[in-house]
Amino acid sequence: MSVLISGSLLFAVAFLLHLALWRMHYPRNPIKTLVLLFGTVAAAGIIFLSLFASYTAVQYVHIFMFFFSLFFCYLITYSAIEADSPSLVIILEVARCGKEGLAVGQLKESLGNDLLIEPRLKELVESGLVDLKGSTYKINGKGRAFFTPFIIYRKFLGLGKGG
Amino acid sequence: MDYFNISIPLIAITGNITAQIFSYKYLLGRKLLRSEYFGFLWGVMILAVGEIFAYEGPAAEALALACANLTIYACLAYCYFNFINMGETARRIRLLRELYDSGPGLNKEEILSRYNAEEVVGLRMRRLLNNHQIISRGGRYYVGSPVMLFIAKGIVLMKLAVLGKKSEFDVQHG
Repeated sequence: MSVLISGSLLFAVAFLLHLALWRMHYPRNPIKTLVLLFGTVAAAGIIFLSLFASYTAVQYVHIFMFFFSLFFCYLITYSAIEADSPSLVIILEVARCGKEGLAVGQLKESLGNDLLIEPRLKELVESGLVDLKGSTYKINGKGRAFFTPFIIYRKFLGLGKGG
Repeated sequence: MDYFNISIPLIAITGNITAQIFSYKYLLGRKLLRSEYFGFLWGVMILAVGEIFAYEGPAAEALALACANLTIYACLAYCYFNFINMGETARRIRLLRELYDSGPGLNKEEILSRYNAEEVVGLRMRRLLNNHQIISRGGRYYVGSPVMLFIAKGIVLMKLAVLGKKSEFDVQHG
């Protein structure tokens, strides 16, 4: 019970702080800020629990496994919250048309490169995965390190480029 | 509680990944989504077996530990599911792939000649139609399975709660 309660409370505190912070000032690098925020709450949680609770080492490990698994889950979901997923935009547009249905050509008019591609290119540069020199985009070491697990996995399964 | 108990979700996620890869390559005719479900269920079975072996009373405490482990496993499985799907659908990953393959780099026109909005919409429409999430009738599209619509509306609610807006292109409210 202690793992569920302590882990859930810690996550709830971190999440509420995240909502409050985002309302006050949207950070320039939201992912980095989330990592710092949740990491700080975890560290503060260790101090608080060691002062006011008597957990064993195994229980501490379990609580933080619980906390960080919820955090990684949220971090991945956050990218879907931050950026509009084209699939979900399509579904919502189809649903909005209701019984009339959405005409086949209608989507392509409203979803162009300025909405679907250029913002993602800009984010890759801002997040430091791609360098922009003049008009040339080039993947850098950090981008290669981030991308390598995907390419290894997809080549192993014989999957295509995706997108 | 001992270290075996807290390793159960890690053993389960290892089983999930192994089963997913094996089923994709050899059992399910290279159906990626089905292999992901198969791997997830296999991991749940491993978790259940592990919890039975690790059972120590009282029952309420054991149940709470099992719930915690199930949550950890579900979160790890969700992360793995998204790792696969990011490789499959994420525009940023595809753009990184194009730049990774290009060597000296690409300008915007070269990038758009390799990957552009038309391809993004086309790929997604094919996927949504193949998975019956939308259906086509008389040259028009309609919602098929309501699950994706439910997820889409949930994401919009989360955007409102976290970002104060429904779309990344809206002006922020509040």
